[in-house]
Amino acid sequence: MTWRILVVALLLQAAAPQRGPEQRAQGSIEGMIVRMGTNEPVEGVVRVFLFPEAGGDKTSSSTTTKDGRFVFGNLGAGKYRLAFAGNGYVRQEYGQRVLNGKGTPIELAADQAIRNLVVRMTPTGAVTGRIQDSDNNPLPHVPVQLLRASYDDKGIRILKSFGSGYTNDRGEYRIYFVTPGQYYVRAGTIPAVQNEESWAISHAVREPFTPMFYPGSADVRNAKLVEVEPGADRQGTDLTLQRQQLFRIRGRVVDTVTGRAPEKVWLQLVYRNEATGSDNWGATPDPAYQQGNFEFRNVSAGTYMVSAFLEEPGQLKRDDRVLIYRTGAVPVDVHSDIDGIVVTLNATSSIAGRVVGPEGRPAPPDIWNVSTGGPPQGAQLRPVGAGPAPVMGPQFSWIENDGAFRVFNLTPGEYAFDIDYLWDQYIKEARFGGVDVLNRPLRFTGSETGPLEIVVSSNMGSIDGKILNRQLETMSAAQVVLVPDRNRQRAKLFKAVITDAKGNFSIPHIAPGDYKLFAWESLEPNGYFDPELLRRSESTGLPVHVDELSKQTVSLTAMPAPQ
Amino acid sequence: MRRRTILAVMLLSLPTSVYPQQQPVQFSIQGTILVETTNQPVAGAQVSLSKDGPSPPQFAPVLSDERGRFVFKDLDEGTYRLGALKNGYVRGYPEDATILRADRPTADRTIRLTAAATLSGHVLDASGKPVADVPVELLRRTYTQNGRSFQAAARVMTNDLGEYRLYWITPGTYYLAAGSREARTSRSYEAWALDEDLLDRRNSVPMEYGYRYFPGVTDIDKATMLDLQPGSLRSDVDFTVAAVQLYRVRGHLIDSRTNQPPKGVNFSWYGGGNPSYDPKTGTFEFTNCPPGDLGFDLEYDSLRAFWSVVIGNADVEGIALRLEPTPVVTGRIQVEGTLPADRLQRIRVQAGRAQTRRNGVTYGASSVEVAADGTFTMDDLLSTEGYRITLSGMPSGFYLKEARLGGSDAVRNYVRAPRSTDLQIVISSRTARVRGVVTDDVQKSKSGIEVALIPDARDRKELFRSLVTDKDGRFTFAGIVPGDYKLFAFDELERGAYFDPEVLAQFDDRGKPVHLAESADESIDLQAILAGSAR
Repeated sequence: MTWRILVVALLLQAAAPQRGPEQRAQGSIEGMIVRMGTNEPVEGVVRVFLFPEAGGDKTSSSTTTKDGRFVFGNLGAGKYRLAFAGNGYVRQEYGQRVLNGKGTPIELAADQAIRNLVVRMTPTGAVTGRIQDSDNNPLPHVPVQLLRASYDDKGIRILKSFGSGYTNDRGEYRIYFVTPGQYYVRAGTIPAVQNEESWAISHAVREPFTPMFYPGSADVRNAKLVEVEPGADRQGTDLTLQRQQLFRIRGRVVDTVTGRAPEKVWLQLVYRNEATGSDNWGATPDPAYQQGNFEFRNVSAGTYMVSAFLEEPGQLKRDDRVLIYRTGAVPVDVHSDIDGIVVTLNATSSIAGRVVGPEGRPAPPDIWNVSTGGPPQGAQLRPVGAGPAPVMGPQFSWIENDGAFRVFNLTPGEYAFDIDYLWDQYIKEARFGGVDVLNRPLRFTGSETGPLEIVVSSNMGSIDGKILNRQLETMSAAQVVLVPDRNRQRAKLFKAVITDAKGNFSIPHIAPGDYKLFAWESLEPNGYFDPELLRRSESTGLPVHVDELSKQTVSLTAMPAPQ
Repeated sequence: MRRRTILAVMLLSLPTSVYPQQQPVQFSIQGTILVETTNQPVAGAQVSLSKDGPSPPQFAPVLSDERGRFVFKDLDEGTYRLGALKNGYVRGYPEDATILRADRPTADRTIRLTAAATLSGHVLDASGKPVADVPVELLRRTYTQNGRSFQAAARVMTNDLGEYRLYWITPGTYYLAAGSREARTSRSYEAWALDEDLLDRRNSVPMEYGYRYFPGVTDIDKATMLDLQPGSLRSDVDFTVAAVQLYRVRGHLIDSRTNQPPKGVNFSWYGGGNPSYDPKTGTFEFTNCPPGDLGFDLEYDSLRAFWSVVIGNADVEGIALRLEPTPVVTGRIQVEGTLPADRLQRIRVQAGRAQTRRNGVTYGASSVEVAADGTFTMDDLLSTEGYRITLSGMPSGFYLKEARLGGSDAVRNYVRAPRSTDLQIVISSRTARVRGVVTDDVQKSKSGIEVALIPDARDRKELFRSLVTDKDGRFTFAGIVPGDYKLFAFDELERGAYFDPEVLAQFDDRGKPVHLAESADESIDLQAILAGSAR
């Protein structure tokens, strides 16, 4: 029984269907979808999505007819993106050059009819196998994943999941609708993967198994890539798993401010999620805690951070100020039961900071994406290091009209400073106690030095251009990437765009500096963060110097991505 | 300090020093895990143990050995409960607890595990092609106030080959169904298309299939019931589903005060579809409606309207709806009997509408608080709809004796309030009582028999009562709303099955009629009705 409620008031009027013959546009886009490598219409139903480039919520969709045809009518002039999805075919965008890559929009003039678009869809593949224990017993309800080494949009190397499934009572799994390509296959109990709610598991014996990569290694470096072919089953991808030993971590919490064990404390076991590159703690078990002693049970082997914090007493809870915590964190490598961990809670420190414009004027508060005060959006000091970070880290206060702010909850250590969501401005300088912290970590020793001085500027450059193929024709949907010459650890200095239907591209809002401009015929999403790929492509990059407010136009030939 | 320590040691050593000759008693539980039908031992079953009482100790589960044997040692006196779990079997446990005492410190228990059933097959479309990612449900029949209902005991999705496999099923009778119970609409396809994070499923497209029962029917009464025996394996249960066609429902709205289209409108609705409204033309539209019930309330500036339709296989056009002012219903609760002064405030007056969906759940009910003096005002009733009055938060021992909406009985009937009127409610403490003994056909009293007290007004499900006879076959219903009833004593009827009018019809002539007047205390003995395998 569902009783749904929607308010359609005057404000939402724009979303109401606009009818009336006088308004009806006459443009149309028609086409046909064929199976890759043939001229045969696709079997089964394909859903076609039409996204107007201008607006988000005007998406419409339709399904193909029996002969694989689709049509969108009554379209106004404008740019449209088309996407196609059907069971058994790789989802694609019109004009894309790489599976799962970005496409190019179609430009439609007033009352124009575009006919006979031909879209070739690639059949998906499947991976099947059996998961068993060392006595050849089938292992039911074990998670299995298809993974690919990839980069996220922060340039962090991750193992991204491209499909997953569970074994059945016979230990069999089948991961289907897989985009053809090469994958690692991993089976076993992964902390980051929540066991799905399942009827079967409710009256089943649950056992953890150490995750293994095909054909039988816990280490991805010894794993073998599995090739998934279009329209084919990759059978026999079997794995033998060992029952996973689970451990406990015992220790105590000492509050150095009071010298006693706190009555209540937040305690989390943090681990790094290799699939997202971020830190997680939700899936770890809650610890038992009593009179300063804690115990985490059923912990699988791995690298963790025991993170503890509690609120400083007597603070007002107001939106405009940051709550101050006492924090403590201890890294632990778990390979056996661990006793005697001591987490000391210490009072945290704060530092002063100020953000100004390029001439030393106070920067308008909206550089932090707030119009009138408020906490700075996206400003962050992230602990530097390979391991997981404590749950409670530095937090920025609201920003004053003169650009002054404070950062609270700091503990001694090294931090990377950055501001997310800056679009038409860039961080020109960031210094802490006169030392550059934009391209190097901020070192905080525990007592306040500083301040943290930030200069932002909107005097950015831009590059427009055209990409040609090796026959010197204009090339649509080519991948254009602007890569900084130095400080390549700063992912935000990378700028990636796709050429339009006429081979043109435009990169606005570039921080001044020295860059190389690359054009590849096709590249996996975020693939340009791969240092090896950049090293091999380095000589094909076009050096460009971007000055404040500079505009330049370039032309470049796209190269195949190095294999 | 030292002295105290010594004292503690002395106290602890007291029991052994008083009985130095006696060996300490060793408490333990051992046992065997067997397959229910074959008595074969079950190796590798996970046997769990728990102890009754406050803050009981935790026991790590043990595994049964090759002979199905297990043992828990180093226990102490107390009441214990065992359970055994093995993949492929139904969870097993002895019905009674295991009690360890000094004079009986060990126990040997046998736990029999029933082999689970397996069911697999294919889901195909009308052209015989496999249907991927469609839910398949195994349904178990239960009874509630709303009659029969079917709960999913298991649910899986088909894979790209249309295959499904349901395993570790507790043996029993089930229905099987595939498809979506409630169709999503194509708006959700678009949300899906924009969702970049659906990496795992980015190459599939959501499709809606109508809900079908095996072997492919839409009416569960025409479905084939599957009797899954212990350890059985059925791999041939294929059936066909059809993609859902979506329709459009369209009409015009008029503000009855201005005879113009309202400037905006709130929709509340059940069923599928996406509503929209154009205030310029007064046109409203639900797009992407699946076949079935669609009902909606419209609200604008204290004006309201309601409309419902069963969508068949065509668009619905040309609905003309006037949004009318709602009547103001003022009322008071009068009390027969004694009640603490502030007790009336905890009562809520509820007005429910006649229209219900097939599963019997009412929707769009109105509800209002009662003031300390028993007065209340309802201002959101639709002038076009009939309402029946119920009360929640009733003081114990009281019942709703009367509710007159504009003078008409709104306890037993649905009553309309076309214009502002009054609602007079009477609650009373003069409830009735009925008791008796249930016997079998040789006049022997029967314990554990379900006795149902069913009102002649069969649509008043809130008056249905049931209980189980005690060890002497006795039953007592107290706090009963006065009226005409029938009493039934069911032997071996599925619990709650009498809520199903068809089931009840089979036994109707064997019920004993009883008239319960205000404050009545009747005594009636019953003979058990052997219900057996009634469907």
